[in-house]
Amino acid sequence: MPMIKLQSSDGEVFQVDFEIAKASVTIKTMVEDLGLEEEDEENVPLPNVNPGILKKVIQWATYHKDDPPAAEDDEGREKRTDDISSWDADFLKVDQGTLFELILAANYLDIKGLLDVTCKTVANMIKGKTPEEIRKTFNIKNDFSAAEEDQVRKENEWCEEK
Amino acid sequence: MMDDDRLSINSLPDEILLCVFRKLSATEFVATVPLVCDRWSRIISSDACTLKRVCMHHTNASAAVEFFYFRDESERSLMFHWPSDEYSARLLQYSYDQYDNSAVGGPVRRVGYANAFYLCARYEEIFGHITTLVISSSLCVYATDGFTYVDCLTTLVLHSVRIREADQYTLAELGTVYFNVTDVMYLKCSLASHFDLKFLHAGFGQLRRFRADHNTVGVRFLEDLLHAHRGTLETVVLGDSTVTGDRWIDVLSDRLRGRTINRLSMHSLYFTERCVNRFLTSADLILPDDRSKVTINSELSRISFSIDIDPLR
Repeated sequence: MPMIKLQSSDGEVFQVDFEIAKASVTIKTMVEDLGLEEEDEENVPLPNVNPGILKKVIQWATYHKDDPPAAEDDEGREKRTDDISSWDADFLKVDQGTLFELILAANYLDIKGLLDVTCKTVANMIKGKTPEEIRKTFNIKNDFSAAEEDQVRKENEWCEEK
Repeated sequence: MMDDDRLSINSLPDEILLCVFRKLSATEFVATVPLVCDRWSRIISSDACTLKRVCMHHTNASAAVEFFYFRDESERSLMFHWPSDEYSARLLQYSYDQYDNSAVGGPVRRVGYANAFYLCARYEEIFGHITTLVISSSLCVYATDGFTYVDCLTTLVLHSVRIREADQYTLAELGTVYFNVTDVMYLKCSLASHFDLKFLHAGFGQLRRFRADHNTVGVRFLEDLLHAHRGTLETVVLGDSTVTGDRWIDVLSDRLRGRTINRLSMHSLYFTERCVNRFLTSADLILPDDRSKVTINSELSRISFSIDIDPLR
């Protein structure tokens, strides 16, 4: 099987089956653009991804290598957040920092499936919470003045739960 | 990403946070997320197509206008990210609830809002698809100038609209734009006390169901309404109307002479028994055989009124 070498931010190199690495549109494009041949010695530099995260990404892509490609306009599926597979759910039992790094990596590497499932995981952390609970969950500072908060609240009054 | 510092959710770029937010329910999207912090509020209000309404709403203090409208599903799905119409449905539900709280049950068919979405004014190229329009603005009268392609529009809801006497001539033109409207509702609107709705209503050529909840609709308005739409009107529901007692019964006797009334419910402290009895025994009106469908009594200090009639075809 053709392998390619992915080089993470600290220089560590990971050998990956090209078929798996192709889950990343970025890598696929890079390989094409760099004119890399199969079994080439050259590394694909991924300066935005640290080795820990790259390892996780490869693990995810390996597990999902046989997934059928997602339909382009599958809005209903994208919208749902209760359809995370148990493998993915386990895979994403990580601390928030890692989760956000995975999101950034999925975004940078352009791996739609991983971006989707990680965003869903974050969405599930927001769901059903009050603004205050959300701030607490993510350690977000409430930077509204009382007047501003009132204003935003008032503007959205019509759709609030009664 | 190379930082040793633990990343926080706000390290994520706007477009990714928006991806996350779009996976929430519509209600959370517009009601919860913007309250978390300034950045989240800004992201929501900058969302190009789903959130025009919020965006406009944010400038409402300086007299911007809000629109919500509804069109067919295939078009909507291109613009709107939630599979259900929760967002717009909730707006309407809110309006209905406000209305239902006024203790007037009514037979007005609840419109199916399966294809809801909203957008701001002057997107004329798509007006042709709109079937239900909810206008919620203190300045709607002027903002609706651009509506000239609303042939499919059948339900018009005016919500929180402030209509002044000086607006009457504008409304006369507006009415003709809404010629195909069959259902009209005024919810939480404020009308100038001497406002004559004839101007607006003169344009409603197909009006079948009318519902209003504000207390400035009086018997004179009812009189005009029953007359102007005698060929189409089937249902009128008025909540919390200006009290004039027996005059309401006189108007019905006069305007509905020879007509078939299918159901009638009127409540006011100010009806006299003599007038009510005269009305119920009048040979000029065709009342339902089942008299439980006709209730006139003195339970409420303001008039609540609801009637089903056969149009005069």
